[in-house]
Amino acid sequence: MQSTNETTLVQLAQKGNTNATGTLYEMHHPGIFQYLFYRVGDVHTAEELTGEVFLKMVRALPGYRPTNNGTFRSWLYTIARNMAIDHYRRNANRPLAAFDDELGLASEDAGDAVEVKLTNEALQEALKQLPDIQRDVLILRFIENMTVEEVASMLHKTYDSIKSLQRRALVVLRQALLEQEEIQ
Amino acid sequence: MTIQDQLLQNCLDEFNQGRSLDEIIANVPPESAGIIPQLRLAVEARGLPPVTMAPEKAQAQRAQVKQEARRVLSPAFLRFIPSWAVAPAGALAVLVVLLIAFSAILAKPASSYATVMNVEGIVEVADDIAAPEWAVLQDGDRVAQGQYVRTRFGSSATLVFFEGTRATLGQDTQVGLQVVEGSGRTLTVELAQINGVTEHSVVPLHGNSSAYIVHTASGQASVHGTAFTVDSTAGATRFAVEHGKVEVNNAEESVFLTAGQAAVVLADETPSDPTFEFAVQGTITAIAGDQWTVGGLTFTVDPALIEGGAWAEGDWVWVRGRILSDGSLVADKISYPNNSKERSNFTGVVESMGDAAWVVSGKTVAIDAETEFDEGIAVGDPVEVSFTILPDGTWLAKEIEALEDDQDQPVATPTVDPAATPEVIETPEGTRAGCDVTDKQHPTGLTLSARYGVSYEEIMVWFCKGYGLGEIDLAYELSQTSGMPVSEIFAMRESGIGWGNIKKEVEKLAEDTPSPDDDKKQDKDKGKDKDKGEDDDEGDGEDDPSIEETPQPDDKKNDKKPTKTPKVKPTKKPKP
Repeated sequence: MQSTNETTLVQLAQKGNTNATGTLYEMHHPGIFQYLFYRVGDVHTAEELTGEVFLKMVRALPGYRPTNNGTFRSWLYTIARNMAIDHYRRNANRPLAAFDDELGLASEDAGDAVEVKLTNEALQEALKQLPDIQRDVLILRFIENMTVEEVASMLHKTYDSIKSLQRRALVVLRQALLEQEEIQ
Repeated sequence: MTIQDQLLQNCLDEFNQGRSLDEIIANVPPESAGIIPQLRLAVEARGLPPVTMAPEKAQAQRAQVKQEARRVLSPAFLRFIPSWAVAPAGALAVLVVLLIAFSAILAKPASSYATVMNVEGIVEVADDIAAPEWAVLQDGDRVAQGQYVRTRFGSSATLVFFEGTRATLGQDTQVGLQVVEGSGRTLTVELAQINGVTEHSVVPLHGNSSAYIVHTASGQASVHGTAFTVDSTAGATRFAVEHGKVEVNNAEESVFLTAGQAAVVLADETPSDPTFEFAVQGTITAIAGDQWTVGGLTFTVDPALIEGGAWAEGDWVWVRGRILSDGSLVADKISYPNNSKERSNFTGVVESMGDAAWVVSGKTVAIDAETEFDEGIAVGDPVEVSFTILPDGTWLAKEIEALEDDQDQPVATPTVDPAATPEVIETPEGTRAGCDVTDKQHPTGLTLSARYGVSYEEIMVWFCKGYGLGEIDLAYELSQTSGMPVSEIFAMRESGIGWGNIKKEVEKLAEDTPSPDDDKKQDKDKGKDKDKGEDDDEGDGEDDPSIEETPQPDDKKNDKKPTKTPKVKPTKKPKP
């Protein structure tokens, strides 16, 4: 739910109040940076793209309208997601998903008893092995703590579809983490 | 979605509500213990320390963002006249920068948009799918990357992209242009189809970076030079290929469709096997459970895939479906026909070619002297057969077309002529509910009646007068938001004003109109009531129960208030 305070800030920013724009940046850049860090897997690129997201936000603000389905935050994340997609397209260095759904589900039971050790670095590396849609769902749901509804609205998926995707993504992520540990 | 998916979500909800992980895990049923590792991982991910940007980097970005806000969002005179520009050198610098900027704009390839063509009815654009305000589009208007386009009932339009690739939006369709990039010989288009029907004619794409993808809630199609249709409802999408090859996939699996084939994708389910398809236009002659007969063709109707469900025997409909491997027919979509060109047909592979009959994917079709063929068809070729059913049940082929004829492939057209004559869309044929046949109600008429709280008859008066359902939808929406009588809005249209300008005029009027609390408005209302009373006094049919207050489609522009008219028998006739 979008707070009244944020709504007011957005309205002020739309009217040209630069301090309000600066405050919006302060409020949201940590989340956007973190999303992009896990999405593109590189600190410097994530920093660069974060700046671009907010420049694009400024340029798109005149046309922004609050909606029932999406919050200002989800609107910003949509810009960030498009930036990440554009980045891959421009640089043709999209991480290739090493695991497809079938592989992930086939080994679902294999390592159930094995505990995995999760760190930021391990997560960042393992996420590179996931298909884009699964990576998006995991980051938005469990790193950015978005609700299922928010993620569904952002990714143009159904509520049930997100619930399926999040479980499948966790299965594949766990497998990737286990394989990382084996290599090390 | 599986039970495990739902159970995992329930556990996550409990965790969010403050229950301990151990307590939640202890309550997981043994048969669902497989979700525990995933639950632990999700909770661990949530507990990771945040990754943060270097403070000095964030500080610099904040300043840059504020500077951009000053440039883009500040009032125009502040934006373009910085204080240092008063110095001659500064002014010169500004001029040089502006010249470079304009040159860059002019030099930029015009490829990050689509041109709107063949607009029928009401087609609108907005920057956000849930935007309260949508602008009405006309032929030649541009829709940019990031914008959304929607068609209202009875409306359609074609988006023409760089190099001539086209996407045609059917009625009641919403599409977002997520990515539109074209330059040189490459084109990247990603469309998000929220609902409705789209037909795509994609010119052969060049380069690895080229792509044409249509996303829907239940699956997506990606192609390289083909023609195909996407029909998306809330829970299912039907993909059908006319030419070329299309990859259809969702999170579950991918299938490839070739010419003449179709597949249905339900959300979170494996896409159906590719099959050949059939289509028939005609009267529903029988409904026996899930077995329907239309135009002599009997097929199975899956209630989950049929919208509405208010169909009855005698309705004139257009049916599209799939021919399963055992030869049985399954309907995917039943709707009112859009035009009379939609003939009964089916697709398949030619298995034998006799003088009196051909066999196409196991179905025998009779041939006579009037049957038309494409040249060069051979056994093994995919074809589309247009046919009629004879009284004895025989299928007689009217035309047999090859589906892989190169001459029919979409051709690149680098330039777009905005003044091109729109294609003529024929009026639906057959018996239409609501006008000549008043014992059957038009489903969209019922929808609009409920939406705007007016009688079904009132909606159909406008429809049978010749207004499209999209136009009626927009007129009532404008009437509700502005308070202007709907008859006046239609009068503006009849005077030749375009819907885009009507929308602007009415919205401006609504902004200028004082609030209901305003004394002036109250006086005006009193005046209206007085006028109404006078009309009542003059009305001859006040006590006649057959007379009620309805809009008068024949109202002239200067006739500003609704008048009483007898109930009219709708006069719109279907074309023979």
